[in-house]
Amino acid sequence: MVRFEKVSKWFDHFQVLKDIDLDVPTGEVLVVIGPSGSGKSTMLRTINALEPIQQGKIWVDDESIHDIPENKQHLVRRKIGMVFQQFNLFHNKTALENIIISPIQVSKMKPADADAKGRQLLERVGLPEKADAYPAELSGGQQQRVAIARALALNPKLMLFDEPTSALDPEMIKEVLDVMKDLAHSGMTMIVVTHEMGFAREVARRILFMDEGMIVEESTPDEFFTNPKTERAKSFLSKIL
Amino acid sequence: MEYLLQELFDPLVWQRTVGAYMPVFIEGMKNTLIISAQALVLAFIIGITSGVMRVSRTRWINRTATAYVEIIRNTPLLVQLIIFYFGLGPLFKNNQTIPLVLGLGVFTGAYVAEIVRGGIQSVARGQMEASLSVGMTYSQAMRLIILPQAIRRILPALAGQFISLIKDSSLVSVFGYPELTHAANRVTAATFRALVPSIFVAGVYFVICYSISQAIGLIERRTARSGQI
Repeated sequence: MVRFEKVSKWFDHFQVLKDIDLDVPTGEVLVVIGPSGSGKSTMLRTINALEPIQQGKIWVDDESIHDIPENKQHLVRRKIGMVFQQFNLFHNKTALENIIISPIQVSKMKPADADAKGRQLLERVGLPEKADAYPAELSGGQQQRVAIARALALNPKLMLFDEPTSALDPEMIKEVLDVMKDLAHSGMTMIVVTHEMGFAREVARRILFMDEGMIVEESTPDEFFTNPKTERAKSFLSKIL
Repeated sequence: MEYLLQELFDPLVWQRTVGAYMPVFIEGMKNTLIISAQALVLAFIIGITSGVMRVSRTRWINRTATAYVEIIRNTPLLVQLIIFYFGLGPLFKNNQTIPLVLGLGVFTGAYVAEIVRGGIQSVARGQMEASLSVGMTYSQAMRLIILPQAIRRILPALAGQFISLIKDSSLVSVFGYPELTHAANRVTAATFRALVPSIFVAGVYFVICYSISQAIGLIERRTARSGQI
């Protein structure tokens, strides 16, 4: 589904991604962890070309997204859902409108069909009664669940999660993680950048540990948490667990 | 000084310079509002277009809009109006209104463009990223998500610009366009009294502009209460 080939990226003179190679098969739930500034969010954002890269190739569903001209990249992005740390719901739209705007505008779905689909998605994230609420009227956890529903609205083949629970109050983290777990169990291909070690352990098929723009360690959750191979992973885990 | 006060409070002067010419003033006020409204529509179209162009990452688009804004903001309005009036006048078969509306609209458009640019930049970057992430094109994101939020935020500033436009429109009196200031000039020419008609006209401008700013303030407070930014 996603393949990185020797991908490097610089912010001015600072290299944030160093020769990343990665292969994410369809249906995999990949969790990316690492200290802040390790490049994990940046890596995630290069997958749907929110961030440009300077070297290498990224294949998404057999298309090399960074080789596509900017005015055609939206065609690839339609296959990729993304959930942001700050939710980024459209402030000028209700919960339902947030979800159905892209089916209507982007894939030209009939408004009535989109409406039905939007309500179904709200049901799926447990917020059927919030269809007409504006983002400002929802709690953080509710906003993030609407954001997940919005990301699912175009039936993406791949979902990207950029620290989806980091901006949430502790009591709201679970409701968001539950939705994500459901999604993982439904067979969705997911790449999740997170600090939620419990989630990583329970849901991930594979863990990627990044530091200083490199993939330092790659293993199954069991192996990673009980027996990390590298010193850097060990010291990281000792600090957070 | 004494003479001024005497004239200012002389009912007979008011009667002869204002009362007797009321239809001229009313006509002038009407034309002031008409030319300002027409120029406003034009300024909005130009301003929103160039405001969006100002945040474009395509260099030539961005530079074209920047050049427009800088040229307009750094030359006097009266000179711009003269250029429009005598430059474009012949194109419109000497229709007097069109070049003046164009001149005022192009002038105000540059200021609206800067307000729009500020509004767009004040909308969080995440809104654009989220729009792109759900498969919108840049222009869809701009039109459906960014601009509606930006415009709601800049409404007070736009209203201020409209007030400026009404006041700036007094300059078209120079070209004989029969608006409010021109009405005062005509009365002055006919009665040899400048003070009273001018003060009267200033009062009319004040009432128009102050009412608009109060009305906007009211709308602003109301939308602020509904909590939607």
